[in-house]
Parts: sequence; structure tokens; C-alpha cells
Amino acid sequence: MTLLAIENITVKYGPIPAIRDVSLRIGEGETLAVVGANGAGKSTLTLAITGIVRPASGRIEFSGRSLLGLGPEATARLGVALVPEGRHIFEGLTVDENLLLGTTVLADRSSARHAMAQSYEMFPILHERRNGMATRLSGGEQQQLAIARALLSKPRLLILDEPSLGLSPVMVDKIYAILSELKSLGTTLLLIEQNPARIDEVADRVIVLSSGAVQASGLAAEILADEQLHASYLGGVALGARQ
Amino acid sequence: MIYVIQTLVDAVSVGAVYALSALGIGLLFGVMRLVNFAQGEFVTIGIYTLMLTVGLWFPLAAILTVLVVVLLALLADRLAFKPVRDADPATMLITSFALSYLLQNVLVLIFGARPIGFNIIPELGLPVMIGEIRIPRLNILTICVAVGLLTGIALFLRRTRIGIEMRAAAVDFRMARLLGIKGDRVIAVAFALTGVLSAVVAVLFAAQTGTAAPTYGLQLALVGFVATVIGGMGSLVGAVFGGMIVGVVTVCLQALLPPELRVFREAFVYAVVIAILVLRPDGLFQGVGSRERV
Ligand SMILES: Nc1ncnc2c1ncn2[C@@H]1O[C@H](COP(=O)(O)OP(=O)(O)OP(=O)(O)O)[C@@H](O)[C@H]1O
Ligand SMILES: [Mg+2]
Repeated sequence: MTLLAIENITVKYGPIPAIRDVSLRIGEGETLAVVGANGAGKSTLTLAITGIVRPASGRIEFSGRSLLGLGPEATARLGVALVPEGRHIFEGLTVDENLLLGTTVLADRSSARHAMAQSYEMFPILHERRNGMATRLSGGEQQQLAIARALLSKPRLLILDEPSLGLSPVMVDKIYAILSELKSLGTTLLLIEQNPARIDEVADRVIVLSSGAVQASGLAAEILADEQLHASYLGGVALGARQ
Repeated sequence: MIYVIQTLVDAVSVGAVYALSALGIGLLFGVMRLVNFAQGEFVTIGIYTLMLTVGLWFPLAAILTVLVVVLLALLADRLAFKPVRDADPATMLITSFALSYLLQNVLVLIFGARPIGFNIIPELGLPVMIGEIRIPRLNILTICVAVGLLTGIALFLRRTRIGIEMRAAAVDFRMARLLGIKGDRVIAVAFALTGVLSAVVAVLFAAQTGTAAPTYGLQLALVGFVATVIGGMGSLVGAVFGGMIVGVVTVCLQALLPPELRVFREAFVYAVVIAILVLRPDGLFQGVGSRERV
């Protein structure tokens, strides 16, 4: 079952397209990784799906419903959650308040409370720090907070934009452990990374984006082993070299 | 000594009114990055509402005033600001000036440009004696109302879900929307709160001056704006303190300046404001205002 279907979308900021004619599909329970260099248009893709920017052309369907023109609030209510690039933790709010806002789309208070309890169980460090200011957390802890906050809406699709950016290797391990756990729980993931080094741990399929266009797509194992692709679009380091 | 204490009480009660006005400006700036100069006319219309309801039982007149001004604020949001919400900040600012100007002129058409005297409750002018010190009841009422309202709004922002949503929207509007928080609703609630604040400012101001004129509110909105700048745009605590500072400085200058210099009081107040901004260009409390609404 296809959960998200994007067909030929073009997004422009002013006259220049940031992404051109991009198409992709994500099946229910699947993990799709999108990789590409700086400025390839990865974040723009996430903003188009979540209704922050409106594509100039093309279609975006979620569970058979068009997302175009809905805007971010309604898109969130349909079950799309974003862990944005840079985390966007609310400054001046406590960890607990940040998480509480993740439950906005849930039907009632008791399901919100229940979801919060579950979240604290999954992220003990957040429970420990729940009454502290969220921006006092370390980068890795803030990334966990951003993921926890997105999960609290019980999304059908979780989009993560460069979740490992700027984190220490230990924290990257932690984040990828969380992603693996989510995947094993059946969560549908759209994972954006500039650095493809770790995505083989979770991705089923990979799309390579460059200058706003899809350059290659296929099964993770094939794409990540393709030396040619690495040399051209992914900074030259073949993934196979890591093992 | 007695004179000093009386002057201080006076200063604090003027500061309290300015603080409420500044908080109104600050709240809306927080969620919309809009300096709403039309807030002045919210206050003015509140004052005229009180004038028209003179004779009614005072608490009822006050509640009516709050209802009228909140409704006005919500209408302003819907009809004037919503259509330009995604426009650039300059457009929003011009809209707020245009609305302010429009409302002011409507008031001139209806009531004329001259101040009209009226008396809400004369007993409020009577002093309370604490030992040797004479304190007007109105000052006590003003300070109590301001403290009560500030506490209420602080609790609202900390303890209620919509309050927390407002704080989140003020620091990162886009992220708030991505979590499903309804931007329209947050902005409407912010407008309603500025309506409540404006109405209370109107009641306190009218009780103090006993006159209504079409330009009164704009002066208060300007003071509110200056106060939020001193406090640090985007910091609500800063706005409240900024308002208090402007009020206290104004009253103290009135008391301390030699009579022949009192006409220049405002110039001295703004000299203090400039001095503060030279020392702390981002205001006394670091706000989020220097950042773009995202
Ligand atoms: N708000 C904007 N206005 C104008 N141009 C923009 C805007 N946002 C992004 N762009 C441009 O669109 C292109 C794609 O940007 P995008 O942020 O989607 O890339 P990215 O792949 O996420 O890059 P990074 O790895 O640096 O996060 C870039 O050329 C960028 O400069
Ligand atoms: Mg990006």
C-alpha cells in the first residue's frame, strides 16, 4: 500500500526551482532515504510535503488524499510529522511543554497523557530533564526531544531532516538506534541525510537528489554500493568502504 | 518623606497602566511580529464605551467595555490583519496605522475632536489615609487591578495549553503549525488578550482623567511601543518592566523637574529611553524580536 505518492513536483523560490520534477513513493511501513549534497533540495522536499511551501506543479497524495493547499496544520492532523533540520526546539519552554505540544493533534487529554507517559518511557533522558528548559539540553538530547515531540502525534509518516547533523558519533549511534527501533515497530519513515554513511542501517530504498532533481533511485543496497553515484553526488566516499 | 512615598505610589500606578499597554503590544508582536498601533484606538473606543455607559452600575459598565473592546480586537484581526498576514512586516505595520487612523477619524466624526468630560465614580478620587500618607483610592485600585491582570495572564501563558501554544508560536510560528497548532486560533486569542488589556487600560485611564478624546489611546499605544522597545521586543517580562520604567520616570520627572522645565518632561523621558537603548541596543531583556517570524 502506497502511503505517500509524489508526482513530478516542482518547487520554486522566486524564479529558480529548488526542486524539479521530483517523484517518489513510500509504502506503508517502508523507510525511504533521500540523500544529496548541500542545496540539493532535500529540505525543500520536506517543506512541500508538510505544506509549508506550495509546489508550482505536480501532485502530492497521502493515503490517497491530495495534500496540496492544505497547509501545515491540516497536514499534521492527517498524520504527517516532521523533525525539521535544526530541530526547532521551542526556546523558553520546558522539555515537558515542548513534548506536550507534540500531542496537539490527539483527540483528547487522556490520550495525550498516555502518549506522554509512553514517550518518557522511550526517552528516559527527557523524563529526567522534563522540568528543565529544553534549550539547555545537549544537541543529541535536543534531537531526541525533536523526535519524541514528532512521535507524540502518533504520525503515519515521520519525516526526519538530517537528524544526525552536528552530533557526536555516540549520539549518532543513539539516534540510529532509535530509528531502527521505530522501523521495527512499523513506522513509515522518510529519512533525509546529506551524509549517507549510516542510512544502510534503516533504509529500504534510497533516492539520490542533486540540483533539485532525482538522479537515481532504487534499493538501498544497490544505490549505496554504486561507486559511480558516490563519486558524482555523495562526496566520493563509497558506502561499502565503511565496513 | 511623605511626599516621596505619595509620589512613588503615583509613579507606580501610572507605570502599571503603561505596563498593561506595553504587554498588549508585546503579546501581539510575539505571535505576529506586528506592532499594532491600532491598539491605541482599542483603548479609545473603550473610553468612549465607558462614557456612554455612565450611570450603569460601574462593574457592569466595565464588563461591557471589556466585551466591546475584545469584539473590536477580534474583528480587527479578521477583517484588517488576516488578509495581510503573509505579507511583509511593512505592509502589516501600514495596515495597523491605517486602521488606527480610520478608527480615530470615525470617532472624530461621531464625538468630535474635543475632549468630553464625564465622571465614572467620584468616590475613587477620595484618598485613603495611611498614617500621614494620603493615597488616592484610584491608585490603589489601579495597582491591584494591574497586578491581578498580570498574574492572570502569566498563569494563562504558563498553565493552559493555549497559553503554552502562544508561547511556542511566539518563538517559532512555523514549527508550532507543523505540530498542528492552529495559527489562526493562536493569533485570535492574542488579539482577544490585547482587547482585554486595552479595555482595562481604558477603564483605569478614564477613571483617572474623567475625559474622552479621540487621540488618548494613540498616546498610550506609543508609550506601550516605546516600553516594549526598552524591554526588548518579544520579551513579555521586558514589556511590563519597560512600561513600569516609562511610567515611573515620567512621574518622577514631573515631581523633580523645576516648574519651568516640566513642559519638556516628555523630552527628558525620551532622553532616558535613548540612554537605555544606547547602553542596551536589544533592550533590557533579551527578546526574540530581532529574529524573523519563521
Ligand atoms: N527560503 C528560500 N528562499 C530562496 N531560496 C531558498 C530558500 N530555501 C532554500 N532555497 C534554495 O533552494 C535550494 C535548495 O535548498 P534546500 O534547503 O532544500 O537544500 P538542502 O538539500 O536541504 O540543503 P542542506 O543540505 O544544506 O540542508 C538551495 O539552492 C537554496 O539556496
Ligand atoms: Mg536541508
